[in-house]
Amino acid sequence: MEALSPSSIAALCGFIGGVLLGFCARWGRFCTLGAIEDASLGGDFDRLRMWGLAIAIAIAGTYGLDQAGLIQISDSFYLYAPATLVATLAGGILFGIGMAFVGTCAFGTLARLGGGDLKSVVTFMVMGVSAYATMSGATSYLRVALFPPAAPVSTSAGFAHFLGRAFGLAPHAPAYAIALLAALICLKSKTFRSNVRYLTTAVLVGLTIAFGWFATGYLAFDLFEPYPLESFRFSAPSGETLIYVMTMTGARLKFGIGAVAGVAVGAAATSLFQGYFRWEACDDARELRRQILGGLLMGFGGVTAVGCTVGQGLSAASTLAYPAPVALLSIFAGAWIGLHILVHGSVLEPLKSLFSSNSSR
Amino acid sequence: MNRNAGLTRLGTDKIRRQVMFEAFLTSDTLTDAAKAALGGLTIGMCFGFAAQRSDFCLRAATVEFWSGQIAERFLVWLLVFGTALASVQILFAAGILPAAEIRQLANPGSLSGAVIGGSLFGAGMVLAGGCASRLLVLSATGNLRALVSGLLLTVIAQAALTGALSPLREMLGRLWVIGPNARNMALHLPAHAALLAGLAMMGAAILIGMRQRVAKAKLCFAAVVGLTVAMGWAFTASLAAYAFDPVAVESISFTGPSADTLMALINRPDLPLNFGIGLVPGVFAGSALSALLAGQLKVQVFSAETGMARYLAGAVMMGFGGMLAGGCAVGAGVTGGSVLSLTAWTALFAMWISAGIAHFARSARLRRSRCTHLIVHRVFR
Repeated sequence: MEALSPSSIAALCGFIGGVLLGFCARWGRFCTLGAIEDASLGGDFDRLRMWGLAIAIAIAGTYGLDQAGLIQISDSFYLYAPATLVATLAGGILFGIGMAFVGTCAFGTLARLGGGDLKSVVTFMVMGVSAYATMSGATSYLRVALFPPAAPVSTSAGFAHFLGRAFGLAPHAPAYAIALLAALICLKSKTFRSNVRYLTTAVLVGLTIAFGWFATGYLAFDLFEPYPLESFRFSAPSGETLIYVMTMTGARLKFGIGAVAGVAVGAAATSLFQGYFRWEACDDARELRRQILGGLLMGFGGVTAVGCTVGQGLSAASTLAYPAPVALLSIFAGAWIGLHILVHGSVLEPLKSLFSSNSSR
Repeated sequence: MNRNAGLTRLGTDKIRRQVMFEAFLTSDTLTDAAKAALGGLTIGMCFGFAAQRSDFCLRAATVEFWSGQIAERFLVWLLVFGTALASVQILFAAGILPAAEIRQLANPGSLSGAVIGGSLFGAGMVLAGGCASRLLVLSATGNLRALVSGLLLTVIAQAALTGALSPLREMLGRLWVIGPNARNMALHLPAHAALLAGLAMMGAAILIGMRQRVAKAKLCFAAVVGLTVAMGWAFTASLAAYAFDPVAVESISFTGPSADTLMALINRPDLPLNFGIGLVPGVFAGSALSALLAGQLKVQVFSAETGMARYLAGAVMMGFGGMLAGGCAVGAGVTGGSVLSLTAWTALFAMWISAGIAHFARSARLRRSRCTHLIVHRVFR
């Protein structure tokens, strides 16, 4: 371990965790848009429960690590410099629309890529370029002009820290309580309880997210070469991976770059093992246009909202940061709008249906 | 009397234009880098417009040639190449273009890179349905297939320049390096041989083209494409002569400039303006304008017949091959060829050969699959 630099350790751990997440995506069918579709179209909430249980375990794991003194969760940028409300809302909605167009989120694109889907190569590239341009290139002017960048706050911007302050406690007890509550709500369903595959996946995903904090906060800790505390996220790192491949000679490895590669490798290994690996291409005109448009939206939205379904939905949620539920809800709203645009072919259609359902009530 | 006055006026107009051009080159309001980019933009627009109108495409030319046809696409390419060669030789003769400042002639170059890179590029362009410049022109007319392949090509090109693929590129490039003296073919050819060859190519292309009833507009626009290459050389050479900051003497090329443009687009802090950064958007705008005026803007994508994997594989081969060979079908094939760089001619030759091999391999495979299809059809029906 002595020979490796902190960023290499972080990237290696990111890769290992990414492989696990890729496995979960293929084997356990862990997919946000899939969960939303199941819930809104099929009335089947099990995959959404899987998501909830994963968050609960991630919260418990993360605050457990914090209580044990292995990491300092208040150092996470989700807590000390949370994204502004407007940026989270707008970015989340744009990301959600893009997600509906592509048919899966940033993480799911990587998992599909691993399954041999060539159109995901295109989506990944467009998303990466769009994300990096939004971080530091052409569209970053637009982002900075519309949404002022987040400023550091004096007190940790998380629900557990807030409750802790209100009751004069450490943040750990409230965090465990929230995690327990979420786990109980999810485990209430009998069908979900009896689905071993879903339960295993949820536990594995939750532990992997906590492992991400442990990897960057403890394993990659170096007094002289500090590495930022982070866990899994996939919109900004898609761009960073692309840039790393393009400028390897002058670039440094990062946790997220390892994670991106890990998900693709893990998904490929799993689908090969399952016999589901297929080279697939995109033959339809409208389909490719949707993929490109969706990739652009996800790249811009994901960076603007400081997180994708995994970055905000799992990593930020595991710190119980304020923007996480806002981001998740706006991603859901965006996905709903996007699905309606796909079905009805118009941007105005979702609004009409909203108003008509209001008036009929 | 009247005619004389007209001629004088024409002469003063010309002088005034020349003075204006000099005033632009020496003005202080723009940095030299910005002037280079502006020139690239203008010349790129001319190139894009003319290339779209003339259907200029090295891939189509090679496929025609190897199928044993000397027809429109081949003649257009020959006219472009001949015009560029002849006009650039005139620039040399007029003393406008100094050979010592041209990178392709004054620096050592890699012959192994030209052979391997050119071969990869040639096969890649057959697979992806067009070379780098053709993909850029087509994507401006609404072809998403070309846009996607072009984006992948650019990412791979940058990875070959500074990224994950650069060690491999350097290793292959080091195998056989030649010095500047060997690289400049003008030093080893009789005087005016290249000019005469260029004029002969132009003449042949125009004569056969007329006989085959190729549209005159197409031939004209092909000549314009060739001239824009000379314009690029003349412009950067004049700017370099006046400029305070060093300006590279270069002309139209696509592999490197599209990678630079992509990096500029996604990496704000060090936006380096140069000829190539202006060129790529210029070509895009020029072809889009041309297609718009001709009513040829149309969204096109992959279909079951075209296949997607083939395009992606071709784009990867072109991105890496173009960087290794020191230029694409235009950058090495026309621009480098027009200044008589040996590596560029080698790369162009390799592109022709490997495009032919790729074409034969593909058509043999298509025939075989059609046969299999037929047999399956007969037996199981």
